[in-house]
Amino acid sequence: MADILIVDDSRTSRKILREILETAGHTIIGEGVDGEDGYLKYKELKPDLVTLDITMPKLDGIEALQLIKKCNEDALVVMITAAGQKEKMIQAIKHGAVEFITKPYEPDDVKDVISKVLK
Amino acid sequence: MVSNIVGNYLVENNVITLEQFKDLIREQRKVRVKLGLIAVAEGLMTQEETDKVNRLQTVMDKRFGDIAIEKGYLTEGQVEALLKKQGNAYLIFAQTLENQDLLTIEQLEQYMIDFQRDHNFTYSDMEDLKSNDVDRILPLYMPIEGEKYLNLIGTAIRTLIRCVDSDIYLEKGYLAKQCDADNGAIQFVEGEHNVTCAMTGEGQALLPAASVFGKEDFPEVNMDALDAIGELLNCINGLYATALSQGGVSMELYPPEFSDQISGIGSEEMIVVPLHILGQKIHLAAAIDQKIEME
Repeated sequence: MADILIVDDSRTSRKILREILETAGHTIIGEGVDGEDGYLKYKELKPDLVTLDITMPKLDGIEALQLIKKCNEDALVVMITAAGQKEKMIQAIKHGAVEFITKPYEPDDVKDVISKVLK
Repeated sequence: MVSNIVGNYLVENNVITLEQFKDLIREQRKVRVKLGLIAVAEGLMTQEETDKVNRLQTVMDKRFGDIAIEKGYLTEGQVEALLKKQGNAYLIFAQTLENQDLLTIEQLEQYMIDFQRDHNFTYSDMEDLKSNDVDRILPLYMPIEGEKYLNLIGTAIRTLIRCVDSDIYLEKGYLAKQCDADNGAIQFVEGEHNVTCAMTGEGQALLPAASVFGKEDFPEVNMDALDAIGELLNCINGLYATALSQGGVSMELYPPEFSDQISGIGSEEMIVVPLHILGQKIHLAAAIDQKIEME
């Protein structure tokens, strides 16, 4: 089980993801409401894993990913994406994202991806 | 979708009451369509002939189809074709109307002639409607032809059916420069074609959709509820972008915006489709190569 930081500008999305991950036994140690906030929370909380939405104001998910990786190159970052953001997915892989979760959330898929990454 | 479209038409024309219609929607989930009703709907048998077969069934240990073949009302091939239609949503609705002693299939078919005339639909349009297939129904309700709008609105409606309300139905869409609303969410998607998609409502109309999608009982259409609507748009546009990306088109989604203090939305030209979701009427608006702004 892991300490997870959720970063997403949508309250709804954070809440649904929190419920899925808590049901799977993980602990949500913090939430970031945009890319900049997510990066600051990462430095402060040092989670085992971060979920990072791609489409966010201030810093988007790719920019936040780059900062997090600069801070800790071994950081486990799972990108959250509305389907169809192929270009962004390629950029995220290039910058070290380990996996993707697509919205709308399918709880079983979310749990599978997270447990695969944590192994 | 077809049962809601037809049911509301019957309510608007005072054929059934709103309460009876709500009961029908509830009841139709348990209904199995009888072969005789389909035979009448298809014009292969009269009501009188099906009544006769039904009476014979009470004294013969035989299936409806076998008796109808014996009596020369139907061929084996026709029975086979009718059996395949037993899961059809329109026929299930018709059977429910009959079970509730509200209308026979023959009476319903008479009202469907009026419906066809009122909506200026062709025979083929009516077949599309009765198929209950969203992809066949949607073009009937679009104000203009065009694959791009059809794909976008189609993605929205299929997503709403999957994630919010399987009983959703729509009214005829229209082209507009302005659409009144009290609250709503909007999302801009940039790419080969710039797309804006919006979902708006008056008063508390967006509340049920927000609560179901957001998995939370919002007390009113506040900013949290509208965040859920924005997230719903994000999913719709993401799926639309996925479909485009299969054709090599790349799209960038911008964060959804939402507000509980607007007078409406406006655009140089947009398509507005009134949708009935969970008992509320809301508006879905889309503009391709034009921007929609909240006002």
